[in-house]
Amino acid sequence: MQRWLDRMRLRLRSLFRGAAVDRDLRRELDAHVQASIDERVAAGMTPDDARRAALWTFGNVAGIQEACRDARGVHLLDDFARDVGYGIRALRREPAFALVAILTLALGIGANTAIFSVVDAVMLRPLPVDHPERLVLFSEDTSTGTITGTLPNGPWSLFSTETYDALRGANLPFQDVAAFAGGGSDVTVRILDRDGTPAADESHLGAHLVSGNYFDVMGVHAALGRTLKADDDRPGAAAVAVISDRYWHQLFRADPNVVGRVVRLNQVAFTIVGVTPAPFFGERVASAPAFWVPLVWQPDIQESESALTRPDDYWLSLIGRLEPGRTERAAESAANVALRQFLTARAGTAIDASTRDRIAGIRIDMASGARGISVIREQAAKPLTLLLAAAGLVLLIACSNVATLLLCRATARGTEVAVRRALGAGRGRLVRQWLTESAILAFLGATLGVLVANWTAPFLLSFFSGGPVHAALNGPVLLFSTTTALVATLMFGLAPALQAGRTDALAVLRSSGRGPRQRRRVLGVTEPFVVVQLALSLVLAIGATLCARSLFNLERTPYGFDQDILLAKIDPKPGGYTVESAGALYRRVYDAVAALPGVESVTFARYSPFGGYRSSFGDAMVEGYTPPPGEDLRLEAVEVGPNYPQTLGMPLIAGRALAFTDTMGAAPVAMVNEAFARRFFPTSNAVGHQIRLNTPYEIVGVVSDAQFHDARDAMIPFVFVPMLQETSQRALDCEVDVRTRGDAATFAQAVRQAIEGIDSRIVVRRTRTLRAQVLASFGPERLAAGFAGAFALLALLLAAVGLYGVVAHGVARRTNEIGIRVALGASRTEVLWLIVRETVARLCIGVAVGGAGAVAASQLLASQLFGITTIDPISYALAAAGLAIVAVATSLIPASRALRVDPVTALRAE
Amino acid sequence: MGKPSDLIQGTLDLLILRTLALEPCHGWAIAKRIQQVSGDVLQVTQGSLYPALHRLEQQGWLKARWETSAQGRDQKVYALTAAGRKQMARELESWERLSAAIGLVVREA
Repeated sequence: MQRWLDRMRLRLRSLFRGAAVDRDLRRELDAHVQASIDERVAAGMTPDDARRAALWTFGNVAGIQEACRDARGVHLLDDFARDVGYGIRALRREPAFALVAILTLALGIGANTAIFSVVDAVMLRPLPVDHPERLVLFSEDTSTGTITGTLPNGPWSLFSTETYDALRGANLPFQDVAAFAGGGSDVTVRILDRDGTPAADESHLGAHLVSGNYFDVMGVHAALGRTLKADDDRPGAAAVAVISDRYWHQLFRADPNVVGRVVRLNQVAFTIVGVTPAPFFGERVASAPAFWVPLVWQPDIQESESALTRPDDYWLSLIGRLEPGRTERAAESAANVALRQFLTARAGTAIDASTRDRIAGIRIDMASGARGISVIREQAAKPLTLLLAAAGLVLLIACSNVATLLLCRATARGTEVAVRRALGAGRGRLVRQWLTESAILAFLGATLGVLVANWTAPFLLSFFSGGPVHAALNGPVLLFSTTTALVATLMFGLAPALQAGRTDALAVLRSSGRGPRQRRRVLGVTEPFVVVQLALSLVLAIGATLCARSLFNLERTPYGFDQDILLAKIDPKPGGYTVESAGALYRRVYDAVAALPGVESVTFARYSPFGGYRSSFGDAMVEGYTPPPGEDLRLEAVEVGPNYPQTLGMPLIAGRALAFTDTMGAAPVAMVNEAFARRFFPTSNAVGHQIRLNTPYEIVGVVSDAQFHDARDAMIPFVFVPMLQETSQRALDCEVDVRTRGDAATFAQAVRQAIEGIDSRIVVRRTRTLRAQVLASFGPERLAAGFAGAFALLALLLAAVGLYGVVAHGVARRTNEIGIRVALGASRTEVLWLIVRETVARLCIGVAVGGAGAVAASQLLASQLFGITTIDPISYALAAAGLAIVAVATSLIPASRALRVDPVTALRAE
Repeated sequence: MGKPSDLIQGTLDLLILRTLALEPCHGWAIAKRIQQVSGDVLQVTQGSLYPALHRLEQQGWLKARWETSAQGRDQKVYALTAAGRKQMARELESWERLSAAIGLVVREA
C-alpha cells in the first residue's frame, strides 16, 4: 500500500511537476560528471582535460534524459500532448475540412444541448429551496381554480379552509403542511410614498395567497427582511406582504430599504416585510407572483366573498414537508384516513348511506413537490421527448457525415499513415492519434455548439413557457454536452481511426499512396455512412411531413363555429361593478359595440372555444335521465349573452336563443347542444325539459355542436346558461364577442374605445380574433411541426453535404475511367448515369431502411397526429420524393464535373 | 569477451539492487562499484544506469534522497526499500536458476 502510494506520488510528480523532475535529473547527471572529473584529476589529469574526457565518456545527455522520462512512464501524457499539437497542425493545414467538420458537429451538439437545457429547465430541475425532495403535494392535478358546492368526488385537488385545518392538526408524518390559493390573483398595485401618498401610476400584477407557514414549509429564506410567519395569517393581523426579487427590482429599483414600504393591493395597504431570493418563483413553475400575501386577505385580494369560513368553498392547494425519513406513501395513507375521519365526524350522527359512500370514495393522491407544480412539464413532456429524439438523429447524421469526411481525408493521408507505420508507429498508437484528432474536432464543435445553444435556448424555452423559467449552462447541461461530444468522437472517429490502424504500409508506399485498391477500400467504408445519413434524414423528413399535415388538418377542420370573430376580454371589477350591476353594464357594452359601423352581431360569454378555460358542474341532473348508481353526472356549462348562436355561427337547431329578457327576475333558461340532445333526448325534443346544474334551468333551445377544447375530443354534451342570470362571481368574467363585416382584427381598436367610452375604469385586458385563439391553442403542434421541419432541413442539408463529398470523391477517383469512356464515345447521358446510378442505389437502400425506421419511430407521434395515421402514405411519398430530389440534385453537381473531363488530360495523367 | 555493456536483459536491475543492498549509494558510486567488484568486466554506462535507477524508483523498489557529500556536492543517494529487498531476492533466485540452467547446457552440449 505504502509502495503504491509512493508510486502514485512519483508519477503525479512526473506529470505535474515535469520541470522540477527534469531539473533534478540534470543535477543528478551533473553530479555524476563532476565525480568522474574528480576521479580523473585525482589520477593526474589537468582539470580541463578531465572535464573534456568526462563529458566525452558520458555521451548524449538529452538521450539519457529522454530514456529516464520514458522509464518514469510519462510518455502516455506526453504522447497525448504531442497528438493534440499534431492534430491541431493537421487540421490547420486543411481549414476547409476542419471548418465543415466543426460546424457540422456544432450543429449536432448544439441542437442537442439546446433541447437538453430546455428539458433540464422544464422537466428536471428541482425547486430552488432547501431539501426539495421532502416536499409533497396533496394532488397530482396541475389545474387552477376553485370548486364550490358539495363534497368533491374521487381524488381531491382542492381543499376547504376547514379541511386544511383538520389535516394540519392531524398527526401526519409532515413537519408542517402549508396551503396556497389554487391559482394566483390579478391585483391592482399602487405604491405608496414614504409619506403615504399613492403613486400616480398603477399596475396589474399577480398576488399569491399563502398560509403563514408557507415559506417555512417550502424551505425558503428571505433575501432581505423576513418571510411570512404564522402570526401574519390570523384575523386582525397587520397587512403584510413579501415581494419577489424581480418586482423588488422592477417596482423599487432594488431599494435596500424596501422593508417597511407600503403597497396598495386592490383596496388594502400592505407593508412589505421581505424580499424572496432571486431564484425562487413560488411553487408553480412559470407563473411567478409579484407578492405573497397571507390567506386571511383572500376576500380583499380576490375581491369576492370570503372563502375562509365557508365549508363548501374548495380553494386551497396543500403542500407538506415530510419529516426526515418518512415516505410520501406513508403520508398519503395517513392523510386519507385523517380526511375521511374528519368528514365523517363533521357529517355527524345524521349521516346517510350516500354521504358515507361518497366519503369512502374520497381520496388524496399525493405527488412529489420537489419540482413544484408545472403545467408546462405536463404539456411539454411529449414534444420535448420528440425534439430530443429528433436532435439525437441530427447528431447521428452529423457524426456519420464527419466520419465520411474523415474517411475521405484518410485516403489523402494514406501516405502519411504508411510512413508513420513504416517508421515503427504501433497500430494502437495510430488509432490513438486519429482519435485524438477526432476529439479535437468534437470538442471544438461542442464548444461552438454550447455557445449556440446558450444563445438559442432562451428563445426555445419561450415556446414552452411564458413565465420566468431560465435555461442555464449549469452542471447537468455541460455534463450532457461533454458526454455527447465524447460519444460523438467515438461514433465518427472510431471507423476512420481503425481504418488508419489497418493501413498496410508496404502496399501504400509501393504504389506511392495512389493505389486504386486502397482508395476503393476506403470508399467502401464510407458507403454505409452515406446510406445511414440518407435513411436518418428520411426518418426526420417523414416525421416533419406528418406533423405538418396533421397541423394542416387541425387548422382546416371546421369546429362548428366561425373564427372571424373579435374577442375582447374585459374586467369590470376595477370599475366597482358587482354581480348585481354587471347585467346593466353588459347591456350598455352590447349597445355601444353593436352600434359600431361594420359590426354585424354582438354577444358576450364567460369564455370562448379554444381559450383554455373549462367549467363544469358536478351532480347535474337531467329530467328523464336516471344516472346509473355511482355515476356523478358532470356537465360543462358556459355563461353566455343574447345572440350567441348567431354571433358565433352555431346554427340554432330548435327552440330559441337566449335573450336580453332572460335576466335575474325571469325564469332560468338554458340552451343545450346537439350532443346533449342526442344523449339525453334521443327520441324526443329536448326543448321544454328541465335540467339542474347548481340551480334548475328549463331548456329553451338546441344549437349545433361546436368543439370547445381539443379537436381530437369527441363532441360532449354542452349547456349554455344566461350570463344575465348568473348570481356568482362568474358573472364578472366577461368576454365580448363581435361578429364583423370584413377583417375582425381591424375592429380591435374601435371595440376597445367603445367599451372604455362607457366607463374608463373598465379594463380591456386583451383583444384577439377567435382564429388567432384557435391557432394559439395549436402552439404545441405548431412548435412540433416547426422544429421537426427545421431538424429535417438540417438533416437533409447534412446528408447532402455528406453525399456530395462522397460523389465528388468518386468522380475524382474515376477520372481515368471516365476519360476512357468518353474517348470510346460514351454519351453525356451515359457518363451522368454512371455517377448518378450509384446515388440511386444508395437512395434505394436509404429509403427502404429509413422508411422502415420511420414506421417504427412515428409511433411516438401517434397521439399527436390529427386526421392522418402514422403510416400516412402521402407523407411518406412526399418525404421520400424530397429526399430523392435533394440526393440526385446533389450528385449532379460533381457528375457534371465528370462531363467536363477531357479524355486526353485524363489519360495523360495516368 | 564482448562489449562490457552486453549485459543480459534484466541483469542490470539485479546488479543495482544487489549493490544497494550493501549500503545506499549515488549513481556514480553504483557504477564504480559494479565495475570494481566485477574486476572491470562489467561497465555500466550512464545511458543505461540512470533510466534503470528511475525505473526502479518508479516501481517503488528504490527510494532516493538528496545528500551533500564531504566535498560539499549535492548527490542523489538511492537506497533499497523493503519491497526492493524482496524483489532482489526474487531476481537473485531467478538469476541462479537461469545461470545454473545455462551452465548445464554449456557443459553438457
